[in-house]
Amino acid sequence: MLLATPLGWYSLYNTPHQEHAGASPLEQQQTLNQFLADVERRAYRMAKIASGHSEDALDIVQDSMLTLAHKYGHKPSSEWKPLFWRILQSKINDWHRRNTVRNRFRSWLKPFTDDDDPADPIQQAADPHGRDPQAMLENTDTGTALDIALKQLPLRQQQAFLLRNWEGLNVAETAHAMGCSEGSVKTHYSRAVHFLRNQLEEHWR
Amino acid sequence: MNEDEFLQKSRQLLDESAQQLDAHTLSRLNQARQRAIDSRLHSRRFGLAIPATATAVVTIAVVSGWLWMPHSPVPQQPQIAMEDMEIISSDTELELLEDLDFIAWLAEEDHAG
Repeated sequence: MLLATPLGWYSLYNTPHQEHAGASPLEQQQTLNQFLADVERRAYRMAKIASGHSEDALDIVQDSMLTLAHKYGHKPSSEWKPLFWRILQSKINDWHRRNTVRNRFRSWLKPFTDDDDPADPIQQAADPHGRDPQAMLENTDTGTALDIALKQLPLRQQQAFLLRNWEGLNVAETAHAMGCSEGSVKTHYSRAVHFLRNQLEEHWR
Repeated sequence: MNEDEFLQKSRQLLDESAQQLDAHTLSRLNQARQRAIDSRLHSRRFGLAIPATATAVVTIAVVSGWLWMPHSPVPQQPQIAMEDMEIISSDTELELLEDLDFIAWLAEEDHAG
């Protein structure tokens, strides 16, 4: 019997004992530990690029690990990789939705708070050197330049680029992880590569 | 720089950034991983405990019910069977049984008369 879950089709007949036949709980634990240790750094970097905050990125990664272990830890280890990236992207999307709502709420409250808490004039002041993101790119090392350029990408393009190019997922796996069609993945990826090359190639020469 | 070179370079830079995470971040990631694995073990134990507990409760209920129920005498099925056999084997008595209503009516009539 199959059930539709947010993460795809799940078989009710796939019990833990059937799927890990022959593997002791300790071996299962070690396999899961090894898998998570393998992906955690890349997952953190993706979450950090998407959210821009270290703490939020750590929360996103921790939630993703918990979800994988708790809900899908009994699945065969070969299925963990696409599941984990899908969970992570889903958590990143959730974070963005919450952040958007929070920012909108703050913008509504702003007229009422302006009088009490005026904006810091130092923060409001223009950069005396007239630097913009493009100028900053030219003055940073190549790794930081890539980070800045990736953060300028729309979220979907950023996800498509990182999953396809860095994580090495194919188009179908990326579409599954992002919860969109393969055509959308190709479009997002193509636009991301085009943008990044325009931004970085001059800088990397 | 062609597209393949660009993609390879970006992969290399991303790999380097992942390898150069600071100790604090690595420690937090390690803690998150351990928490996830612990939750898996906890849910596994909890998952196994539910059927075991349910089985134990049902067993206790069945055994208690059986012990507390008053034990009625065992029906004497063999005797009934033997009586049935005698009735069936006797043609006279079978006819008597078939006319039981008539005999009862006769007895009432005699009593009234």
